[in-house]
Amino acid sequence: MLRPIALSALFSTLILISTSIATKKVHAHPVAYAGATSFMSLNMKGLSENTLVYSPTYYLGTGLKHVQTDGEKWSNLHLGYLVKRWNELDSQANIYLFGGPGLHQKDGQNAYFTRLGAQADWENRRFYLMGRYSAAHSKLSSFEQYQTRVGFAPFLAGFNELNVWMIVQFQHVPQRDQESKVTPLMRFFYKNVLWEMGSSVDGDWLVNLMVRY
Amino acid sequence: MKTKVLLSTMLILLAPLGLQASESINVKVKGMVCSFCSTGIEKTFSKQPSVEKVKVNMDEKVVFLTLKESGQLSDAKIKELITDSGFNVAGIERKKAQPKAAK
Repeated sequence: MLRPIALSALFSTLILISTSIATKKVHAHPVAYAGATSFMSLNMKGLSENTLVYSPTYYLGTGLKHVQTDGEKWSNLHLGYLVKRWNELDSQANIYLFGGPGLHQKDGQNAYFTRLGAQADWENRRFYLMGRYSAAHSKLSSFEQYQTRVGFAPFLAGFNELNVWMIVQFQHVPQRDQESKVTPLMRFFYKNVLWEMGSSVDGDWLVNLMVRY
Repeated sequence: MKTKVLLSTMLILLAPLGLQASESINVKVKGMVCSFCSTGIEKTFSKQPSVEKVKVNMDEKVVFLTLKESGQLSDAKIKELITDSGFNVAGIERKKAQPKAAK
């Protein structure tokens, strides 16, 4: 298992490499536009994740993240970086790095930790694919999360219309009793508000919200 | 001669009140596949003082801009704003709208 210091070093190295790539004019743009503030709340049984991010530029997001699992709290400074984006006329693909240092609370004890994650996605107006890995390690415990999503839009909606997506989420959390979970969900978005609702095949609920302004 | 002088004087005096045409610009955008992610384009262009109207068409992947009378927005500025929104410009087409008398 990687120690927090090793993770910090790894994350710093990845950021440096990414920055180096960006200065070589590789196209790297953010999810949010420059000057945007985004609030994301991801909630499912036994796991709640809230993130507030401000994007000062088109390729960087800075903010705070708070994750709460059964009996544990992970709060950290959040740094998101768009390593590369492929903008095509009919599709878009992205690679991101994210993470940051923070405080882990468990059983009345506190410890510093570092979160590290990566995400890759591809979408067009009809299909959506996403893979994501996130890890947080402290001396108290570790938390890893693997997530894959496959989505389909049953109809093509216009810019000012309600968009609907049908998504299947595959999640694997090695440290949890129920390690793997398959969750079919519906995604809706209208203008700057996005929300998702679903239930895993075992009956566990999922509600997510994202607002950008 | 008097008539020519009179007409010239009138033209000079009335020039500032003359006919003006606003410009419309169609910007073809690469990567604009999600309307939630594209709200930034609308917001960014709406903040521009020279822009009167912004309309995003997801089917055509085009952002339609209508400039205010005598408003100007260079290609370089359009590319910069689209890039800041997280996308790339595929093409820019400019059209002069029907002229209308200034108020």
